[in-house]
Amino acid sequence: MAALLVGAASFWLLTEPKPLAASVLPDRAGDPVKGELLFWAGGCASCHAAPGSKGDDRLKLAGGEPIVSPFGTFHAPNISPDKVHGIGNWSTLDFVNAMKRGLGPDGEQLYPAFPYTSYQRMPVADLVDLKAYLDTLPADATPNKAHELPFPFSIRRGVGLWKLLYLDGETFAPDPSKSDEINRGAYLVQGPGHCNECHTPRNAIGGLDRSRALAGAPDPSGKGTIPNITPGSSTMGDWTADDIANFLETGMTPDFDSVGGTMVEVQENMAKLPASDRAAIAAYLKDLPPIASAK
Amino acid sequence: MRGIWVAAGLVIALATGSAALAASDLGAQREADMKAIGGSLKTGFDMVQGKTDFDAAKAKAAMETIVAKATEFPTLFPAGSESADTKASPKVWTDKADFEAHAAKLASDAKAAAAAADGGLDAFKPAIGAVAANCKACHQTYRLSD
Repeated sequence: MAALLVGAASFWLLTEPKPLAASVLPDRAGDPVKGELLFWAGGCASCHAAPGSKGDDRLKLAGGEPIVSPFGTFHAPNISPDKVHGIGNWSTLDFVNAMKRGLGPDGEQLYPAFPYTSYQRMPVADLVDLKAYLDTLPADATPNKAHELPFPFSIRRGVGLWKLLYLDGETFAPDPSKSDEINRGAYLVQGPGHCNECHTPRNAIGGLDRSRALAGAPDPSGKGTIPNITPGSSTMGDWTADDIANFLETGMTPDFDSVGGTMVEVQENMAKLPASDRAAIAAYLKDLPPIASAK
Repeated sequence: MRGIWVAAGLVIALATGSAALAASDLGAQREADMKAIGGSLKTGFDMVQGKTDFDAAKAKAAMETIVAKATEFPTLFPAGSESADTKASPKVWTDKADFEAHAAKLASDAKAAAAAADGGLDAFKPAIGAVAANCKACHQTYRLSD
């Protein structure tokens, strides 16, 4: 009995939400113009816009297509500025805590299908700008759908334990031995672009295997393979930086094959970035240590 | 009597063997068609991007190759050939009419581009752009991530 109580108390303490305090916020309003770039780099619309929406409807973040994973099916919520169903009532600090700590406004643990393990790399200043941009988008009153998760993943509080292992709280720090361009690319890939979330394999409890960062992984939906994008890749290891940048802009490979599957949305988001950012991503990917593709 | 059973066994073995062969042939044929379409696009885009000189006859022939391959391609997915290659999404079979409509649109856009080639590089440029847009429109839904 005592052991059980100690166990329960430890679980409670270990899964305690650890939000950031308002003192981390800069003493300025967010800049929605800068925020728009981060919105496209972050691919928010890919999960949060209504499935199949095109054009301006991509900006209605009413909640999107189900995200099928080995842990259950997640439904990306409404993050439009609607005050009831969206995040219209969230403060900037609430938003920062969701992105950097994986916490909802009442301290509830958010599931890491929302890729805060990558978004945590973004500096608070960038998140303040992104929030300012999201505030300009149209409100939508679509209610949220509950996730469909089996036990024990249905216990939201348990995510706190997972975070002890996989959420380090570090903001991106540039590598002084690398060029500004490579550092910009590294930031976009590791932070807002959250490329690791699909291109890096995961262990049995969904933690990223950093020893094979960006070296490809099974598609989480269970069908197909997400390619290796390091220089050791059997599919694109021999592409030049220009080839990679051109792929992100046009969706075409050097052989005039095309982008497919879920990468189509990613590519179309990347096409909205300045050419210098696509070149930076390409420079960073070419600079990675080559990892051979898994057989 | 025994002879009949041996003969029946042979027939079954042959039928199974040829079905297996046909499935892998289909996979190879799908890939060959896609590669031919990609190669034809490259021929056209090399001209559009000034990497090679514009040659109306060559541009037209490349677009006609795409028409032929795009017409053949959707016939390479009969029922039961789901595992002939590793990249075709199950949606090819569950949403067959839409899949075929994508192929038909590629063929008609390529036909228009073949005609546009006669009008010179300026007419060909937007036409081949429209052809290329079909690739990811279809691959987004019908090809598994790879």
